[in-house]
Amino acid sequence: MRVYQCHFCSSPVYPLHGIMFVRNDAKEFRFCRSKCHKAFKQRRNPRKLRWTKAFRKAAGKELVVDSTLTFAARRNVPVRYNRDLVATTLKAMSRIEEIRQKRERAFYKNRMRGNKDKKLAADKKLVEENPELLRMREVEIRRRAEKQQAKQNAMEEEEIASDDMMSDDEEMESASESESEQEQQQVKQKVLLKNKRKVRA
Amino acid sequence: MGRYSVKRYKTKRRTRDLDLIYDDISSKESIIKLKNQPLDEDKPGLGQYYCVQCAKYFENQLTLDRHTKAKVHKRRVKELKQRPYTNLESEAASGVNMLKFIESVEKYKQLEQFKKDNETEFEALANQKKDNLDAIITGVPSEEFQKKAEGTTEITEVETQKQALAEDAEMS
Repeated sequence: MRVYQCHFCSSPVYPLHGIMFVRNDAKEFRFCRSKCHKAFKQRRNPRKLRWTKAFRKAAGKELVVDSTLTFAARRNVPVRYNRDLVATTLKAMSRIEEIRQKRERAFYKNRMRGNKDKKLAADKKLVEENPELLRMREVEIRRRAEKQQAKQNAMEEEEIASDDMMSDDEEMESASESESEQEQQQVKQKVLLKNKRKVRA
Repeated sequence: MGRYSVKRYKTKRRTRDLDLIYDDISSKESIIKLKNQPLDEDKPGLGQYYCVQCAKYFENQLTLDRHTKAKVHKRRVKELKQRPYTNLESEAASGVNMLKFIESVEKYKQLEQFKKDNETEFEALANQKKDNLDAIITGVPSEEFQKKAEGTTEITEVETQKQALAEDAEMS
């Protein structure tokens, strides 16, 4: 009982799984599932399909040349049973697997290293290219100025209508009240906008 | 896969794989053997006009030439320039038999180097032009081929005449 490798995607083919195709020249082709089998029949090149191991190795997405990868091999000569040999082999297998996983992880980390900087640069570029999308501050300032204008007009009309009705302190209070109201409204606006953005995203 | 695609890719309709064709075009003996197949009445063109890269038989030399200039053939030639995908490669990708795979890659490179050195010979063998079927069956070469044969002999006669003149000039 052996676990074979799929001819197309190199994934393990466990017993009772997949299909084996034997060609006229007596070469065997094992497939893990019908996806790989059908792709083979359509004569697709595994090196071009991104999800196969062959592509990943060929494109340098995974560790290719490493000494830990050379240990596993099909040896066609049977070895006489030796208990110590079996014990050491099993220990070695688990240890080699450990080392291989660590190296693969290191390789992956190395590959992903520059991503944060790239992303930051891309975002900066985006902000610079699209200034009109980020004019929120200007919009806020404009709206606040308009509101102040409206208030001032209203107050002027009141003054004209009833002279010296309000004392200075009251004016200050009302002014501050109106300002705080405006700020609250603007805060509310800001919150609304934020929510809108979140809903969209 | 739809019904039509399934019909196209049935195993009984399967054509020759790329790694087998690669082996075909890699050695001179195999090219010679495939280009000079025995007369077989079941095959189109009695099996005489065979495109090695595409593994197809054609009716006569004219159709074979037209095929050679066409896109399908050129695409196939391009595909064959890459290293063929084998079981060893799929096993190596999953981490088994790595050393064997590396050895096979070395062999492939050596073979490619050898083919590159003898490029003209290989191409000449692959692009052999053949006479039409009547000539092949009866053994009597047609007019074009006779002219070709005579043409080569005429050229050699001209060369010997020139040599004779040059010698006379030297003598005198």
